[in-house]
Amino acid sequence: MLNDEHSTVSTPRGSSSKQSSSDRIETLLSEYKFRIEAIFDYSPARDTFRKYLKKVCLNEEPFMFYEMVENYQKTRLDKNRLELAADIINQFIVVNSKHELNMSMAIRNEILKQHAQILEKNQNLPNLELLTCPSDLFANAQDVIFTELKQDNFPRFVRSKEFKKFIMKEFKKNETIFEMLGDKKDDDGELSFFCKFGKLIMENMFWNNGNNWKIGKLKLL
Amino acid sequence: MGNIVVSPHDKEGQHHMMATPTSNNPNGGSAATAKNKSEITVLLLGAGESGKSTLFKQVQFFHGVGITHDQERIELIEIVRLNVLENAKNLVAATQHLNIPIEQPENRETAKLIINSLNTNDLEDPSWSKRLYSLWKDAGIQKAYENREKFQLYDSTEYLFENLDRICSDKYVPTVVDVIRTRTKTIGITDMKFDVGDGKQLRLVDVGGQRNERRKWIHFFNTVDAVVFLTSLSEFDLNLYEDNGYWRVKESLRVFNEVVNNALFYKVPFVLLFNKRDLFEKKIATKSFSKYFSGFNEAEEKNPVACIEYMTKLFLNEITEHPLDTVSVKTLSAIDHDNSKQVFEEVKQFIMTQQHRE
Repeated sequence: MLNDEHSTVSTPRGSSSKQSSSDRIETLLSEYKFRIEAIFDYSPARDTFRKYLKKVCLNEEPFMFYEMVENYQKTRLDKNRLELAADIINQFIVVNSKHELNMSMAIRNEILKQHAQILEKNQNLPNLELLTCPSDLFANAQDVIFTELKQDNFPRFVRSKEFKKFIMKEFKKNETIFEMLGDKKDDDGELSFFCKFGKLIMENMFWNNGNNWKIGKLKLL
Repeated sequence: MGNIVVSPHDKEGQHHMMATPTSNNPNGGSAATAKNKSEITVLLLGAGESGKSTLFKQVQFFHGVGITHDQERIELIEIVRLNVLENAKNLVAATQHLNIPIEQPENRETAKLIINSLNTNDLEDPSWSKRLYSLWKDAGIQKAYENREKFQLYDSTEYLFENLDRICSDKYVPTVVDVIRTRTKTIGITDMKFDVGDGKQLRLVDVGGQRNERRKWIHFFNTVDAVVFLTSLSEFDLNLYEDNGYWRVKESLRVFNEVVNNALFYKVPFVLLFNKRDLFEKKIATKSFSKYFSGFNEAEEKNPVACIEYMTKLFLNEITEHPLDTVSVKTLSAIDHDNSKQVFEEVKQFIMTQQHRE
């Protein structure tokens, strides 16, 4: 279930014996901005994210849906897609379905409407080979679900102990794992980065002084 | 924004959607032993867009964790910009849906780009600040915005458009207010812990509020030491995101009923927070409140206190099982840092006092 460290304030960091390599990873972790797209393209990272969603976030449905849609899109035969479409809709789209997704009524209804139209079109065909089922039926929903994972769960994932553990394991095998999964935040390193933008942040805070800001609360460099 | 007096309940009937605890219990604790535990688990519950995550972010901020840190906020640049684009898209879609033309030709061009090709990286270019702001100020878009109860739109729309000149810059770093005002639909569950003195830790659990998310809530029901239920005061003219034909107030009342009367919470301190008081006060100045509540005296509809008292009664009438002396009711403006801090402090005190009493 919920893990104890990914958002904990007071948990002490790693044991002293591992300190140096752990510290190095910690530094690297803070220097890189990770991309969900890169995580999705590298299957061990993707699996780690999936497990995190399942165990920590209780939110595996978007992932299951995403992968089923991938499978749907690469299915060649219309008849097979038609069957898969019905399966996806019954598992994820229909209200109260087993893995119902958190989606707006507008998106859900659009899929159901299109699906009804597809079924209607395929009725009374003289030959089953004439069946059609468009491969982009779930494209929009898949995009939205992906964006939501990116906005909500992903930023937490890259700060989780699960991700750190994964990175440490990978790093031993492959030192380019950081470049593979993300971009360095700034070539001059974080410190100069914040010096550069510290002033900007200050200005922004004053900009917001209508919203009950307490400038002293932010630790600026 | 003090306490509101608890009134007696007079309504019967109870749903049982979430009545059974699962065996899938993360910590195996029980509410009965709460006072001996070193960890106090507080659940933030409520329907979608009631402000659970906004309060959660505020609590992070005044405990100096999470989004307080620049590094964390830098990673949210794209998310703020996605919010800008989503808001713009929703508004443009609304003009089509409501048949309101966007007036200026150059704004119509901008609208086309927003729908078809604009992405978050484009917003690094300051010229987008002007273009998007011009679109926002278009008479057509403004008219759609005035009719926003007819479609789904975030509360932060105006804030984001008014801050475009900062957001559309390659030097943009989100402020804490930006992050707090950014709408991110919570999917699944997230938590945070912090020390509250006496060697105790408070674990705050935030959840998604839409219908499909609520089945995940029960995973925590038997380890909970307190429940903070949020409802939005300003939702009286709105329908659900997940069900456009369903009135949000009705949904909130239904969910509140199911949660507050759940047998697992009989002995648990329960806080009801009427959130978005700021938005609510603005809204009732121009919109009729009594139109939505037949039992409410129309002459009082511009008086926020009277409206809130009425809402309080509506909610408290749902309580059929929970002992009323362990229910506390407060109002909140979760986007307001000081108010959040004060209300959360009161909530914390209430929870701790109730636990000592046990």
